[in-house]
Amino acid sequence: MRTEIRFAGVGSQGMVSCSVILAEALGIVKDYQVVQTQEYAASISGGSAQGDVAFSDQKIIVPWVLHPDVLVAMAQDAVKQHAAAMRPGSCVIVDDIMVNDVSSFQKGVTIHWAPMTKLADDVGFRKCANIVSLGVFARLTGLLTLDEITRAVRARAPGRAETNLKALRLGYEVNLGTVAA
Amino acid sequence: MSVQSEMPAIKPVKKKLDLQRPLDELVELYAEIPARQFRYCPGCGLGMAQSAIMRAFHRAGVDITKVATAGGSGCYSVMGHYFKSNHIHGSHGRGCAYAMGMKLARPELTVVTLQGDGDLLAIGGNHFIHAARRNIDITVICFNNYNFGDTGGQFAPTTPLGSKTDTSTLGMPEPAFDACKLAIGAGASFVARSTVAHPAHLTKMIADAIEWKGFAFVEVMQHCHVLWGRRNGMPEAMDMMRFYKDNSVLNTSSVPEDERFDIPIYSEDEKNVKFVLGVLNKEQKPEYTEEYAKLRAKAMAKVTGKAKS
Amino acid sequence: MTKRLLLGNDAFCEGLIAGGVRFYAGYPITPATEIAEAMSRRMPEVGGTYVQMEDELGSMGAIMGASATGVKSATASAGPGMALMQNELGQSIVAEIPLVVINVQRAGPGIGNATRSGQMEVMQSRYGSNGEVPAVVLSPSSVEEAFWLTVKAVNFSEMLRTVVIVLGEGMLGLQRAVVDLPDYDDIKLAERPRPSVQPDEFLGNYNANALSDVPPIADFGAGYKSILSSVGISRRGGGDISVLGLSEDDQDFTIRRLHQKILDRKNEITLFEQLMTEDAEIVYIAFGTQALSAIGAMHEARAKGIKAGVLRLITVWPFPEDIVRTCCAKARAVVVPEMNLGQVRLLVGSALANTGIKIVGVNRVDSITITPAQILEKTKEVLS
Repeated sequence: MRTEIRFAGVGSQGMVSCSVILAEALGIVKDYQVVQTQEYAASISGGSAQGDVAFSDQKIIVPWVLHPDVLVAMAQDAVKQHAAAMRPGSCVIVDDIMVNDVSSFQKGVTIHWAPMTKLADDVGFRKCANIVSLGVFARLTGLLTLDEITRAVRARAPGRAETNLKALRLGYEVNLGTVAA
Repeated sequence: MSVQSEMPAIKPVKKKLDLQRPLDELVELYAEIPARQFRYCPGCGLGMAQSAIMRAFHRAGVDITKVATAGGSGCYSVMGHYFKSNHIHGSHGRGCAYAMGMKLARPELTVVTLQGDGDLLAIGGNHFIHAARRNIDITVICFNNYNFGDTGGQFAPTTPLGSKTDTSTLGMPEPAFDACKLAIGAGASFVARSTVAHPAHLTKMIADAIEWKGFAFVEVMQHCHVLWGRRNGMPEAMDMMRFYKDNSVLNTSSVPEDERFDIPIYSEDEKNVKFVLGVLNKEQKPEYTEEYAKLRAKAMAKVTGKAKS
Repeated sequence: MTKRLLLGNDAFCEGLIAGGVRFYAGYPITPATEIAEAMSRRMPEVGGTYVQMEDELGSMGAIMGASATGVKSATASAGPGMALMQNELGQSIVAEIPLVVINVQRAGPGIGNATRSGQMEVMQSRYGSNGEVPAVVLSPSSVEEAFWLTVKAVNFSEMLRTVVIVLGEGMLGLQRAVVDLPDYDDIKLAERPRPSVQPDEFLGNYNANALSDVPPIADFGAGYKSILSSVGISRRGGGDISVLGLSEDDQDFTIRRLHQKILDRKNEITLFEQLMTEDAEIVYIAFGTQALSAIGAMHEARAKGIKAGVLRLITVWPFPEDIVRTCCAKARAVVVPEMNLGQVRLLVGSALANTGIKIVGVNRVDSITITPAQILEKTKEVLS
């Protein structure tokens, strides 16, 4: 079955990297068929940025993520931009500092508030909030064990290994506040 | 694929000007004579320049089948066809870009570009300065005839201020490039100038440039009496030869004692100096293909190292 | 085989290497920059050369020079960079210097919209250069195909002594997928025809007698007098260098041969994918990434009982008119989804002239992919 995931935020938050690490985890570690796509504005930092992953146990024909089953939103602008694409039954993981208004999602979308930026600050490096989000994602969806997602992070983000792995673990172990939209 | 050359063996003659060697013999070795006529105007300086290049090949002792020349559009553009060397006759201004590719892909080739002043300094200026900056081992020969001759005599970046051309009938309003200064500024490690009125000196400058390890630039002052000369009071080839003779001085630092040229020696007080001939810059710098070869060796060692571990 | 999560632009790069390319000249431009970046690392690793030139004209010039010495060479660019390259593209096609150029298409005219994707250079690939030059253009849809098609592009360029353009797209270049890369030593490579005669018998690089000939080309430095030029060269080689320029007869022969040598090998170089077209009432004709939406739409249409089929064009130029006609034998209508204002639709229209088949486009120029739903909607509209 085909599943679509989107990481969205602003440039320099590492949303595209997130999608690449997840694609590595699902495609290489877990052996799914995977396509990762991305979209970003011309400015290097601060513009909108998104990384998408579509995976399936069968061949993927259409590579694009049109209606994500899971959206990880790290900025209020991202919520604004992608809320309309989310269908009932899908779920959203939002950052509880960067996002404050989720009223634009339609009924039936489950919203999980996660302290991703806060945990990254706890680790001492705010830019690894994206790695925290991968941990949250893995635990919440049950798609990947901590070990599996760790292998992908090691392969795709070898720098700052200690910080990243700490961030990943914190994300994986967090208790989420959940609200239905 | 390598094919054994059937060309006559060429015995390099080193360090002798050898101007006495019969022209026929050199032509046999290095030149390709067109069936009917050369495409140059009668009296054109390009013929003399070509002869000097041929002698310079001989003096430098190159194997002509290992020489690759490149050029684009202009009066000079047929010259590449008149040698027994390999040649790309491509579009206007790209000579240095072709040469970059040829030399980097096969560093064993002797790469020479044949380019006009408009070709090299106007449309191809970007490739010229960047090839000079990289100090790649090619020789750039610029035939400076003060105008775009092939299109009928419009002003070029080298046209002297105030002189008349087809597109500056009231006098050239723009200051001209000094091609040698441009080359030095861009980082060329060997820069020389000569004129077709000084064939022995010209031959030596080109031969030295070909032998030079690194980017070498030779500006050849080559008259166009038919267009620029006619519009500026020098309608005959001899007028322009005299013009070169009268206005040239020699940069003494470049003249070895055993080689004398009949050119006045340059002095700083000289007021009417138009052309300083001779080697104007010579500095040892790392050569690009050699530097790249080191980088390549490092990269390849890294990969084999990885494969082993 | 090694399984890797591969970026589309890296797939182009690996395809070039697997195809035997050992010289790459580039200039950074979004969204093709990753190819230059990857080549700057990979070329020296495989014993080749990467050079970053001062502009796209320089990149083309350098690879022409390198290819003249017998080293397979390539470059990549996008948008305005491709526009700059047109001069040298035409020059190397007429001088018959084998090259591969990858165009990772971005959106919009002029400097366009750098990070956005489009399919707007179908016509430029064929008609962008001055004079009447032919084009061989291949367009991949997926990351894996980007690899294999680039290998083929190198082979075709050598076989035909021409420039082959690989028409990629930003959204393919910046896409990642899991790809099984083969052992490059197992890939069959083509080599350009080289002279079999001794240097004194060699009549030059353009010694052709028939319109379909691809004459041998001598590497610089191999002992031959090798001249690469578009003027002063007669069709039987050598040529009369007393005059620069071709006689009327030679010019006619040269231009026709440039086209004919490709058209005579059309069967070999025309690649396409044909899905359920046998009984199709409606055929989707598309290329590149948008062909995937067409395939998605076809499956949805079939599920709804609509007899839809897909012709995915892999070789865009020379345009396969005969294949289009065969695939549309039973069609009532054709839908052409593409991210431009109807360039392929125009070609399909000329291929299906006087057949009475209705031809409509689904066109987007906002850089957002056409969805299967949009194609389906258009299908219902045409069939009603």
